[in-house]
Amino acid sequence: MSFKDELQKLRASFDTDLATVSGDDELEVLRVKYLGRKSGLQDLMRLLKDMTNDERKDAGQAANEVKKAIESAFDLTTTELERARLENLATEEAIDISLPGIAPPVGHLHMTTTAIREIEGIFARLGFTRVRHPEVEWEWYAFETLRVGPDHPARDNWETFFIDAPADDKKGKMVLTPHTTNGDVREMERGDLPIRMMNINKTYRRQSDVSHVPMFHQFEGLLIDEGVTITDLKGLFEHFAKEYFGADREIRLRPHHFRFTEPSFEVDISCGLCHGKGCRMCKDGWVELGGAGMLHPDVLKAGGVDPEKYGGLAFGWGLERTVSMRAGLNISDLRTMYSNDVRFLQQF
Amino acid sequence: MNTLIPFNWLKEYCKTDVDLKTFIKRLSLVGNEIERTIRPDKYLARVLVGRVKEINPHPDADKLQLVTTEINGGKTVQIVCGGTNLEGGQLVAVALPGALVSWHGDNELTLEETKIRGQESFGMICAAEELGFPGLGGGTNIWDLSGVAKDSDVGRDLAEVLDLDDTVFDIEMTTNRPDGMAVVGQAREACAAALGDMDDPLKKVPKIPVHEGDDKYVFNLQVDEHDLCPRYMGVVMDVKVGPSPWWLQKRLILAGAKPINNVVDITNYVRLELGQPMHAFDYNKIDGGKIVVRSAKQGEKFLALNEEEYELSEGMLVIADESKPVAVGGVMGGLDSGVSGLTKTIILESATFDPLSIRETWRALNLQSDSQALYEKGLSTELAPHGMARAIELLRVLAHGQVVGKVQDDRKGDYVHRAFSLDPKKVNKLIGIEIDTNTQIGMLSRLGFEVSDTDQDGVYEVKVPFWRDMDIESDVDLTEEIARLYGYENLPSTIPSGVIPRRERDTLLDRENEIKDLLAGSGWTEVYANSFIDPEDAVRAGIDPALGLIVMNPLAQDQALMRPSLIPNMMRTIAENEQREGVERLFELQRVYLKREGDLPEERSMLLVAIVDEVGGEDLFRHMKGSLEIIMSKYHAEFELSREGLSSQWHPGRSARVLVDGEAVGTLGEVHPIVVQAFGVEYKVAMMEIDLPMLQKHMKLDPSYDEPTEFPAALRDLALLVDEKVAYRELTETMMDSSKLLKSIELFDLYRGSQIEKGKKSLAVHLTLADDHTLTSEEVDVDIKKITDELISTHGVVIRD
Repeated sequence: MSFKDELQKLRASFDTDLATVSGDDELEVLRVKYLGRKSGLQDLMRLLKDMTNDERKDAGQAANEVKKAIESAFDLTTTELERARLENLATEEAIDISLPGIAPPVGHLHMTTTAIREIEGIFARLGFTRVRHPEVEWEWYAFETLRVGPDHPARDNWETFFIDAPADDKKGKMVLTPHTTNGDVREMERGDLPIRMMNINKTYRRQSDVSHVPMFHQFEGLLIDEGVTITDLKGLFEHFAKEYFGADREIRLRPHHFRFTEPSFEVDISCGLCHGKGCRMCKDGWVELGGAGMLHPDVLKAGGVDPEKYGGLAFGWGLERTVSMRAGLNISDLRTMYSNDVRFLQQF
Repeated sequence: MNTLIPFNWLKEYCKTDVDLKTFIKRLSLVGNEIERTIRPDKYLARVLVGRVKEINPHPDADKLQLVTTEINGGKTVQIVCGGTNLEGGQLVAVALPGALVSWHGDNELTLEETKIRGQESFGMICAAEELGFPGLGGGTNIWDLSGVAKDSDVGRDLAEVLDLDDTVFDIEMTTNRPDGMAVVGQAREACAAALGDMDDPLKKVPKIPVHEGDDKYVFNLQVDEHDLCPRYMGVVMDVKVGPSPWWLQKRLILAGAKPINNVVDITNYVRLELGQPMHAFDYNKIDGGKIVVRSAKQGEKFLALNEEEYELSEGMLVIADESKPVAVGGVMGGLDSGVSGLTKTIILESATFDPLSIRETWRALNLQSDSQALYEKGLSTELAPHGMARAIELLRVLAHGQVVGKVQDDRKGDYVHRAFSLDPKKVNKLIGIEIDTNTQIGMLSRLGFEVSDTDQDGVYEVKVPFWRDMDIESDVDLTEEIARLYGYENLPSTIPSGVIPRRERDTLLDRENEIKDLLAGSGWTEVYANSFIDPEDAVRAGIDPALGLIVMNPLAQDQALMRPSLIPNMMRTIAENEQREGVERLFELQRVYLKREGDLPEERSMLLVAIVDEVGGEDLFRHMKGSLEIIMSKYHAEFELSREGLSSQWHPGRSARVLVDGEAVGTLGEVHPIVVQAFGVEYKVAMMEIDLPMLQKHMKLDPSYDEPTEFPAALRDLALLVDEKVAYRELTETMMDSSKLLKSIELFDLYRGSQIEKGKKSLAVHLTLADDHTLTSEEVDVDIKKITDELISTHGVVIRD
C-alpha cells in the first residue's frame, strides 16, 4: 500500500471511530490513538525521513493535511460534547436542594441595641446628635434644676434609688437618674445654642413588675432654639411615629403634668392592632407613648439660657415600652428583656 | 390617681345636652383622661325586686334553703338559696334565668333555670356584690332591700327602683390637680371644654349658719402647729344618726365609697362632691370638749378607724382632745371617737393640712385613706368653709342636724389670691398659632379665673381661683390652660425650622456599635444585664465591691451594688443558661461604675466576651483570642500578651493581659476555676475583657495601605516537632528573624498524642515568601534552609517530612 493509501485508511478508520464517540473520556482515548506518540500517524511520519526529497515533500504535505483534519475534527467534537453537557446540566448535575444549609456562625444583637440605633437614626435625620449624660447623677441635675423640689414624691426613697455617698454642698445627694431629663441642663451648660440633643441612656426607678423594670432605658430629645412652638413638638412626634411605627399611624397630644415642662403632654399613638377603632389592647384606639412638653422657663434659666429669647421642647420616653408597642412584638413581661435567657436573646 | 365621677351627679352642676360619647372624648382631650366607663346597671338586666314568702330547709343539703319568692304579677317561684340572713317578708333582689350576674363578685355567669341538689331553682336571690355592688359590703349575705325598696316595688326592675340609669367615669387625674378629683371640679372642666353651663358652688360665698346666743356645749379649739395645719374649722352639732336615703347611698357607692350612716355618709359626700375631706367626732368621746391640733408625742398609741393600733412619733400631726389623740390629722380618725348609732352630738371638722407632712406621716405609718390622698396633693385653705357649709346643709336636711355653737375657725394668716399678667402675643408665640385675646379670656373665665381688661400693650391680669392655688405658678401655666382648651388636636404639625447645630460627637459610641456588629456578625450573642448586682457576686468573681457604688435603698439586698465590672453578671448569666443550652458565646458592651472620691463615679464602657465549653485549655483560649484578633485588626492595633499582673479572677496559666503599645487594654483567658465554681458553673469559661476608652487611644482609624506586590509569592509548608515548652511565638520569631523573604506564617495543624513522643508537639505551618522580583526556587530553598537550621539550633526542632 502506498503512503497515501495508508493515510487514507487511517483517515477512514478515524472517521469511523469518531462517529461512535459519546463522551470526553472516549475522545481522549481516540486522541491518544490517532495523535499520540505511538499512533499510526506518527508511525507514518517516521517513514518520511527515509524518503527522497521530492517524495518527502509530497508525502509530508499529505500527512500534515490528515493531521490537521483530525485535529480539527477533535476540536469540533470537543465543542459539541461541551455544548451537549451544558444542555444537560439541569439533570446531570442536579443536587438535593432540600438539604439543610451550612450556616456561618451567627450572633445576635440585643433588641435594645437595635432599638437604640433605630431611634437614634430617626432623630439624627432632623439634626439631633446622640450624646450620653451620666446615669449616676446629682439631685441638682436629676431634680433640683428641673423644678422637682425636695418635697416632691419622686425624690423620696420609695421611688428613686440613692447612692451611699457624701452629698455635695450645692448639688445634693447622689442618685440613679430616674429619667434622661438629667441631661437637659447639662447640655445647656455647654453653652452652645441652638441645641438638638438625643440622650439615650439607662434610667432607674424603684419598681419591678410585668410592665416595669427597675433598670430601663429612656431616649430624651431636647430642642432649644428661638421660636420653638407646640406645633413643632407635634410635628416632631408625627415624624417619629410614622418612621418608627409606620406611615399609617397617627399621634395625638393630651394635657398632662410634669414639673419641668409647661405645657406638658402625654403623647398617644393610634393603636396598631385595631387601627384606631378601639380594642382591648388600647383605650379607644389610642396607646400611650410617653411624656413631653415645652421646657419651663425656670429650667432654661437653670441651664443659663435666656427664656425671653429662647424656647425649648423636650421629651423622654421609655425605650422598652416603645419597643414593646411595635405591632407584632408581644412581650408580656418587660423583665424578660434583661433576664438574658439565651432562648430569648437568640430570637433577635 | 383615679377618681370615679357619676355622670348624673356631675350634671347637677354642669347643665349639658351633649351626647355621652362626645362628652367623654372631649373631657379626656382637655386633660381629664377617662380611662373607662362603668354602667352601674350592668348586672341588673332581668333582676327584679322580690319578696320572701316562705323559707323551708332543702331536703338534701344542710346549708341550702328552698325559698318561695313572690315576683312579678303576684307570681311565686321556688329559688334555692344559701343566704343565712333570709327572713320571711324580706324584699330581695331576684335574678331571673337569663340574667348576667357577677358570681361571688368575681366571674361573670348567665343564670339558667336549673335544679340544685334535685330541687327546682328559678333564678337566684342575690348578694349586693353579685349585682356589681361589692362596695355595699355584706359579702355573700343576700342583699336586704328593705331599706331601699317598698312593698309596692315587688315585681319591678331593680335598676328602675334604684334609679341606676347612669354612667360612671373612671378618670385619671394628674397629681397637681386635686380640684379635678371631685364632682364639681370635673363639672367645671367639662363646662370649660364647652360641654355645658356651669353652676359653680365654689364661686359663691359659703353660707355657714351663725349660732345665736350661748354655745350649748363647751368646745375649745387650740391649734399648736399652724405650719402643718394652716386652717382648722370646727362646729358642734346635735344630730340624729340613721341610714342615709338611697339616693345618697347610691352616689357614694358609684363614686367608690361605702355607706355607713347618714353623718359619716355626708362627710364622704362632701369630699366626693367638692374635694374637701371632712370628719365628724362623737362629741361625747372628746375629753374636755377640747380639740388640740398638735404634734404627736414619741411612742403615743392610736387606735384608728380601721381597728389597727399605730405607734406615733414626734412630728406627726394629731388631732387630740385633752388627754389623747382622736385622729391622725388628715389621715384617719380614731375608732373610739367615731360616729356610731349612739352618737347624739358631733364635732364637725373641715381643715387644711400641709401636704408634705401628710405624706410623710402616712408613709411612716403605712396608713392610707381617701382624705389623705387628697390632702397630700395640697388643698386650699379657702376650700374648708365650702365643705363646712355644704356638710351643715346636708346634716340639717338628712340628719336633723342643728348647729348648737359658734363655728370655730383658726387659720394661719390671711389668704392672698395669686395673680399674673399674661401677654396674649407670648401665649400665641409658644403655641404656634393665633388665638385672639377674647377667646383666650373666655377660656380662662370658664375655668374660674378672674380676668381684667387688657392694657395698652394688650396685656391682661389674671387672678387665680383658690382651687388652683397649688398648680398655677406662673404665666406659662395659664398658656397651658388656653392651649389645652383650644385643643391640641386642632393644632397643625410643623417640622422644627432653624439651623442644625454642630455638636461634637461621642466617637466611642461609633466604636461600640462597630464592635457590637463585628461580634454579632461572627457568632456572639449580646446580653444586657442589670446594673445592680449582688455584692456577694462581686466577691465571688474576685472583684472588690468597694470599687463600685452601694445603693442605699435597693429593691433587694442582692441588687445593692452598682457594678464595677461586667464579670459577675456574665457569670450569673452563664450559670442560668448552662442547664438549657450548654455551649455559649456571649458578649456585653456596657458601662461600669467606678467610684471616685467626692465626685460622681466614672461611667466607663467595657467589653466582656465569654465562651463556655466542656473543656478548657488551649482551644478555648484560642477561640477567645481569635475574636480579640479580629477586633485588633479592624483597628490596626498591634497587641501583645503578657502573663504579668493578672488579677485573681483569671486562670494563672491560661490567661494574659492584652497590651497595645505597652499599655494594658484588657485581659484574655480562662476564668479561674475558683470563680467558676463559686457561681456553680460546671463548664469551663474563657473571657475577654477590654477597656474601650483605653483601646480607643490606640486605634488607627485612617490606616495607610501596602501596595500588593505584582510578583508571585512562594508558598512552602513545614512540619515541626518540638518540645512542649517551646511557645509558638518563639518559633515564629526565630523564623521571621532568619529570613528576609519570609512574609507570613500560618499555623494549620497542631498535634499532640500517641503518634509522637510524649512532651512534644507537632506543628504544621504555611510559609509565604516574597520579594521585589519573582523568586527562583533556589532563592526559596536557601531561605528555607536558613529557617530550618535556625529552628534546629535554637529550639531543637525536628523537621518532619
